Amino acid sequence: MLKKCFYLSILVIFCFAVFFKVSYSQSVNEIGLDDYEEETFEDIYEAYLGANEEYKKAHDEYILKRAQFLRFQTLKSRKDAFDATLSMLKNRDEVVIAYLKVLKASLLKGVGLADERKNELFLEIDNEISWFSNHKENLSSAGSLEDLVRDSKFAADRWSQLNSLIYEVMSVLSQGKVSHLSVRLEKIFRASKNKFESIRNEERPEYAFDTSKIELLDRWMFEAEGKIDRSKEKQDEVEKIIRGNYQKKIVGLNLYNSVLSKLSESQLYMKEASNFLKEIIKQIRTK
Amino acid sequence: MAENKPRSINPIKKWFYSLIGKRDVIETEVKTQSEEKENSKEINQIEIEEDSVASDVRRAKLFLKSLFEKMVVFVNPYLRKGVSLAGSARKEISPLVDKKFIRLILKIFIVFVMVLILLYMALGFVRRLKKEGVFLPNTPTPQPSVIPYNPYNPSVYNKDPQVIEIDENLKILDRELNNLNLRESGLNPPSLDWDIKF
Repeated sequence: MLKKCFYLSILVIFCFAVFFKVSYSQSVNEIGLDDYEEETFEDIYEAYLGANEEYKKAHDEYILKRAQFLRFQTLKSRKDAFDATLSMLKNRDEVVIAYLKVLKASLLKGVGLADERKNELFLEIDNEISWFSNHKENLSSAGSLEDLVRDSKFAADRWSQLNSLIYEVMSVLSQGKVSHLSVRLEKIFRASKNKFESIRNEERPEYAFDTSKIELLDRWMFEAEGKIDRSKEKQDEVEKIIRGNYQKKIVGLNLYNSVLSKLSESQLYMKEASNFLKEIIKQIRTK
Repeated sequence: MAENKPRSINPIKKWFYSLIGKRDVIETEVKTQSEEKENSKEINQIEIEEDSVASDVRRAKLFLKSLFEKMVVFVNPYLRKGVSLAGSARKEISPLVDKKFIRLILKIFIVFVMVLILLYMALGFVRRLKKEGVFLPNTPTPQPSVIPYNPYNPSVYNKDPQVIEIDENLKILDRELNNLNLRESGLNPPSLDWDIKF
């Protein structure tokens, strides 16, 4: 009886473990993260660069065959132009897919990003990857150069819509970096402030600082807090830009630049706050 | 003495009298003037005789005058000869001498002199301004202030674990803040040819 119970419990544990593993891998597959856990960012980026090289070769070939076809207008040159164009379009889709995978890997590796935000962007990127994958597969069914030109136009339209997503991802990544540092700075500021308060309330004469030093530290603490607040204001402005404009699908290189400009200002304020905190700590550590 | 000077006849007056036919008036005036001159000479002689020093001076003057006249008479032919020689020499030499070069030297010399004059004036002006105190006094050149040596004097919180931890975290954060590259330059969209035409 005891043996049976033991075997039964082992069986139950095994079943539970198998079920958990299956359910976890399904949830991961929903957002397509399994590949990215196995592959490193460097591998994905390497694949993207390789696809880009292949595309360049195919594009050169396409240019040559196209020129020959436009010059000679023979059946042979038409067939060569068709093959070269098909190859080039497939390679172009491959580059787009590889690039989108790089964006996804960057998001996965990025710091300071909320999970919800990441998942939203993952889903959008996945949609685009599947669209370009289908497009690539459908290219083989084209029967003429005109079909290829039409298919290329579809891809071009899709790419122009994709621009806002690309710059949104890039903006979110930059924003995440600043946000990550900002959180750490605030944590350090809080710790410094707590320490300073305990020193201020110290009544033992050997542990207490004189009034002038306390006033100085108090002023620097106030200044540091002000700089941190300013930095956060800039980050809020960035959030407004990203939420307001990228969701309207406004094409975004200029917006990306304005985001970077605001983030630079935020970074500058954080540097100033950090300098104040360094001075405070230096003063605390010396008489 | 000024009264003794012979008065000359006014030429306009003379012309006017001759125009209206009154020559006798002019003659009478001339006569009266010559009479006045003679009178004055007599007066002078009387004065000279009375003053021996003045007579000596007068004699000396007369001697010098006669000497000068004799010299002029003696030197004049040589002078004329010399002038004519110089003229012929100049005529012969002038084509040999480069006039342009001389003009150039003259110009340079004039310019040089002008510059010297201007320089002199400017120096004088500056000296005057300095004297009058228009120039600001020379400002002392900035000297680097010596940083006073403050020996490291640790407080009781120097080895406080909380303070050390904050300091370490702050150093790491500061380094990261300084090295932060916001632009995702590796993620720029690829440059692809979307304009496919035949």
